[in-house]
This record gives sequence, C-alpha cells and structure tokens, in this order.
Amino acid sequence: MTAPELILLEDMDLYALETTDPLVQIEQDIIHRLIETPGSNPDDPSRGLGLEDQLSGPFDPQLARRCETECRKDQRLTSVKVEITQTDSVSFRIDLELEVDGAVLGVVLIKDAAGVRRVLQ
Amino acid sequence: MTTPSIEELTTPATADETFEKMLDMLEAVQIPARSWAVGGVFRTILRVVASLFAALSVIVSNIAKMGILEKAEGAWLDLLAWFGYGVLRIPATFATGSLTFDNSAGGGSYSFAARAFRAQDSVTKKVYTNVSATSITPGATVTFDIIAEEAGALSTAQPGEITVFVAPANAPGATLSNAAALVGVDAESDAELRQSAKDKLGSVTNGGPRGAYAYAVRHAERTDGSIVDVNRVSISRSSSKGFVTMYVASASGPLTIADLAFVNRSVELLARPDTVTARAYNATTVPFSRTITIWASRTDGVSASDIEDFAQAAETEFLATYPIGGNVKPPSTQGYLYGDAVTGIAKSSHPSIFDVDIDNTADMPLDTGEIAVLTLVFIVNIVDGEAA
Repeated sequence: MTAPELILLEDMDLYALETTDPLVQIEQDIIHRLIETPGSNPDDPSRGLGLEDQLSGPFDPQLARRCETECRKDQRLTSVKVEITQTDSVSFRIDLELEVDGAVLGVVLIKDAAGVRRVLQ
Repeated sequence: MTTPSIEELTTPATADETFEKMLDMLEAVQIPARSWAVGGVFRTILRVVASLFAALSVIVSNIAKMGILEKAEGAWLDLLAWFGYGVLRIPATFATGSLTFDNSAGGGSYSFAARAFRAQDSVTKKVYTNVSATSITPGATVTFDIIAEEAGALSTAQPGEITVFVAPANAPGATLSNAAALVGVDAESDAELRQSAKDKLGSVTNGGPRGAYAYAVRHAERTDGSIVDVNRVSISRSSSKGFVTMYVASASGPLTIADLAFVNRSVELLARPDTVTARAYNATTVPFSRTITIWASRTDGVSASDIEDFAQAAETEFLATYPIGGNVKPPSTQGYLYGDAVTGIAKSSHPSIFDVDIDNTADMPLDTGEIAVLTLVFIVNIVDGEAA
C-alpha cells in the first residue's frame, strides 16, 4: 500500500487532507520538482528546476527537454513528455504527459504574471 | 529521563541526526515515516523542523559550554570570562619600536607632529607612524619611536624592513631603517584567556599567590584604559624577607619606563598584600649573536632571500615568547637559550630547508630576569636536490 502523503499544491487543505493515491502523489511531486528552485529542498538538494525563474527570462528552446530530464529523476515514471507553448508575451502553457505503470497522466500548468500553477482539467 | 552527561550537553545534534531520530520515533508509533517519498511534503516539513532543532541545539550546547571554563570558546568564553571572572580578553597589541631617519646625505628639513610621519614595511606593506613629535634637520640622523597602524601579529616588522617613505612621500637623500624587529601580538587566544581567568582567582585573595601577580602584570592598564603590552613575566620563587621580584617583557623586549610604572601600579592595586614588598623590573637583554648557515633544496619560486626572510620571521616569533630567564632542565636551575632550539626553528621555517649549521653551538645561559635578543646573520645555500 502506498504510504500517505499530505496534499499540498498551492497550500495545505484546511483539514490537512492526505492521499494514498499514487497518481495524485506523483502529480504533486512532479509539479513540486519543476517549480522548486534547485537545491532549495532540504530533503533532496539535488532536485528542482525553478520553472518560474526559467520562464521569466529569455525563452530557452531547450527548456522542455530540461523539464523532461528533471522529471525522469523520479523513479516512478516510465516515460515523460513536456511541451511548452507561449500564449502571450509573459504567459506560457506547460503540458506534461506522465506515464506511470502503464497509466498516462496529463498535467497542465500555466505560467503568467501571477506565477506557476496547475490547471484542473 | 536520565541526566545528560557533560559531553552530551555540550555536543550539539546535527540536522541529520535529529531527522533520523524523528523518523525512528514516528516509526515506533506505527507512522510509516521511512516510507514517505524523498522530497515529498511530509519529509520536507520534517527536514525543516530537524534543521531548526539542530540550530537550536548548537545554541544550547554553547550555553552549556559557557558554564565550563575549559569548554567555552570564542565569544561565549568572552562572556564567561567577564561575567564569571571579571576578565576581559587582552586585545591585539600594536607593534612598537625605533626607526632611524638618516638624513646625513639629505638636504631637507622635516618636522612632524605626533602620528604625522608614516613609513612602510617593504615586505609586508604594513604602515607605521611616529609616536611623538619629531624634527629632523639637514644632515642629521634621528632615531624615534614608531607604532604600527594596525594591531596584531601581521604588523610584525623584521629588522631592516621599514624603509619606505609614505608621509612624506619622499625625502631626497634620506633613508629609513629599523635596527630591531617590531613585534605585534594577536588578541589573547582562548587558552590564554582561560589561564587569565584562573590567575584572576588568585588576585581576589590577599595571600599573595603567584596567580595574583601574574594577573596584575598581564592586565596592567594605562591611564587611557589600554592594556600594557606584557607577554612574559617571571616571578621570584620564594623569599624569607617578604620581597616579590618580577621581571617583565613584551614581545618586542623591555617595556617603556612609563609602561613599567603602570605595571607596578597594577601590582600594587591588585596583588600586593600589606606585609610584602613587590616590584616589577624590566627584563635585561642579552645579545645572542650567531651566524646561521641554511642549506635548502632548490624550489621554484623560492629564492635565497625568501628563505632568509622565512627564517628571520620564525626566529623573531620564537623569541617573542621565550621565557624570561630561559628554559631550565631540572635538577639544574640554570636557564638557557638553547642553540639547537634556534637552529631547529630556522630548519622548520620552510620545507625546502634540509639542514642548518650554526657557528657556535653553545647554549647561552640566561640568568633571572634576562631575555635574549637575537642578532643573526643568515647564509643561505640553495642546492639542486637534497644533499646525499
């Protein structure tokens, strides 16, 4: 059985809800891995891409590949595909396709002036 | 809960140790903490708490150490020394000595207010200034007292190194030179401060223990509150007539007359009981003149002049703390400056040196109240490869 994890994307739920759903956990962990500044997580200093900072400067055409490289550090993923689309001068849409144990999980993030957040589909 | 040992109390926990302990405790109550994903929310929060706890334990251990003289360190030792023993750490001293301004070939006339003249060590680039107002007329040679602008050992100047004019920027035809080393001393180390605190305990009795005199001498204050530069004191062992005789010296040698008076005043205020006559005198200098031949392997970037500088600096530092009256080999009571100690210091001054010869191997006796002053001539031989 998967160990429980606190649900925390933008913030914790008022009741500090947990989940034992592995797909929910992977989705949350991947999003955190992409948005955390490199080295900022005291439990795993090797992780983090700093996606908001990366999308705040001149656009790097290799960023999608670097996102994939960062995601592949999570051993639970079988494969990962990332596409980044610029929607206006400061905004981007980031589409993630995560394969876990044969199941495919689609995750959409947007980055705009307010920062990076998940889009519920 | 068992009482922690002194070692446990004074050893802080690391963040990793604390984190592991937390995982153990959670697992013990059936919370699968070791199954949490690395980098996940639960573990990250726990890691933050462990880091903060570890930082707090550093503060706690320092507070615990602050109560034990032998364990307190740095700023915490300063607090214990002051609040527990009334002792302040002796700050770094300014190197002092004499400088000769040779204007015999110069036509300029110079007049400097105190601290207006400045000269520089050609090797260390440290700057020194005149202590009192000084005037030099055309053709005259004047020797006057100078003091380093920066406190501490880095302002130590070897003989003959203070040769550069700074203010004035130049003096046509004139030269500068210091015949003797000027030695600066760094602030009291933790070990020295602990000893001062122990000596201070002696000063609160009126029985005249040795620690009381040592404390009074080392912590003599001038009228401006600065500490007199005394780094060595020799206290007479016994007297049937109630006389206590002390000999004192700074790292550079004897004290000034004014500073010696401050030392005696401190002894009078802090240490001397009514039934005793106590007096501090300047240590008497005894020259130790030798020619030292240094043998060194050729090393890229290290010249014979460099090796001579290393050896001279090492000898100056060695002699700055050599005890008054020399070192004694019991049962003999005669102190000496040992010739092989001097050669040993020279040999260890640079790794390329493989041997040192001295023209006179005899040890020099030092009587009560005497300190040695080195006058060394160095001959440096650089050889290709070590001698067979």
